[in-house]
Amino acid sequence: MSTTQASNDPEVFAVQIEAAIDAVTEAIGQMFEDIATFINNNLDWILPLVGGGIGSLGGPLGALGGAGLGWLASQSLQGIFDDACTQVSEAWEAGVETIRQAVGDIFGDPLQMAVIAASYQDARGELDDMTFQVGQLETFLGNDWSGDGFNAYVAVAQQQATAAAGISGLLSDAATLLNQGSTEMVQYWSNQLTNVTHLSMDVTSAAGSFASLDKATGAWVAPTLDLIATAVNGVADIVNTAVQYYVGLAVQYAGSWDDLNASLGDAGLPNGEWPRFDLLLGDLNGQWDHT
Amino acid sequence: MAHGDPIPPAGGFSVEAGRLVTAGGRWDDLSAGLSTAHGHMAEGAGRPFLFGVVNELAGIGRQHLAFNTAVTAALSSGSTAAAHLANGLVETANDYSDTDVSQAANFSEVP
Repeated sequence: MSTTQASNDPEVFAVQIEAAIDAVTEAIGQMFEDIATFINNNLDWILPLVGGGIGSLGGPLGALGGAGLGWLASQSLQGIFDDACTQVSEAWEAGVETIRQAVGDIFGDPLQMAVIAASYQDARGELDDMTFQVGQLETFLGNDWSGDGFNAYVAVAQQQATAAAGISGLLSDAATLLNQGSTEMVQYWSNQLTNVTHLSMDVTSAAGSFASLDKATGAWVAPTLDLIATAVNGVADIVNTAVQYYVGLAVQYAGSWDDLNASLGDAGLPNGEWPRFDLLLGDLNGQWDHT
Repeated sequence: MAHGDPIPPAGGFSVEAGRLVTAGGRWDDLSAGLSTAHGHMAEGAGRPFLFGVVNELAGIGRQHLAFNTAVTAALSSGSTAAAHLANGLVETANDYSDTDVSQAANFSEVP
């Protein structure tokens, strides 16, 4: 089936999904309007059928004559019609609540995910040259500087370069995860938007079955039940899509972030922190005591 | 004199000390770069529901926040460390220069 593309902006998507829900509501309303119009236009043959089909109205009431039977039948017709409307409305109201919950519970911000991923890449731009520059400085200083001081400097400088390169790699992985999360969430939203849009089409189709009514009493009950079934099935699809998204992506995705956090030490950040040589060697940069 | 301010190199250590001061300037640049990188991390801060409420139950939002917080802190520390390293190089240069100057004075006083 064709997919309706969701926006990656949650505010825009919220408008999209509400519009799709409204379309289903309108399709249901249109169906009942069509049924009402059909009944009003065909009272001449529907009323006698309804009157004949309602046992409680037979017998003594039959003596009231055509007009009276028609009025009573009309009231029965109205009751059946109202019941059908109530059934569908209640089914759909529950469906809307389920849809909003299925979509809203996973209502993240893929647009912001992409913005953060871009910021991480910008941060990497500041870090990626550091290893090269530290190497250059080592050569630059090593030409004229040797001894324990220089060796200590090289060790510390390389720690800094390793940490910078490690963070750059972490940010790259994080940006990839964010972009993946953003793409997957928009895909999920698109799938749900498609589900609701198709539900609207299915309701319209179910309403169309009214046109093929046989001329029998209470014949609108069948398409009404179809309509309820359609709404229930459509909502079930939406819930299934939510469950698949949650199980298929979110659990695995959470593991990926867990792995990323667990790799800080391997990335040159012992205990998840920048190697602060200055904290270990407090007097390294002590104020030079000029005499 | 403030900590990290260079003293013009003098005596036989002039070339070496000058290079240390130059290298100190490059580390100041690296410190500024780390600080800029630190600033880019602000975009990902304080968004526990970035991935949605249900996904937060799986801890994704918290995992991302933990990552963002750890890297932000690391970059802040990195910027500080690089600045200390820059000052350390300059102070070392100052020390070499001062030794040269003071020892020259000592030798000149040898009877």
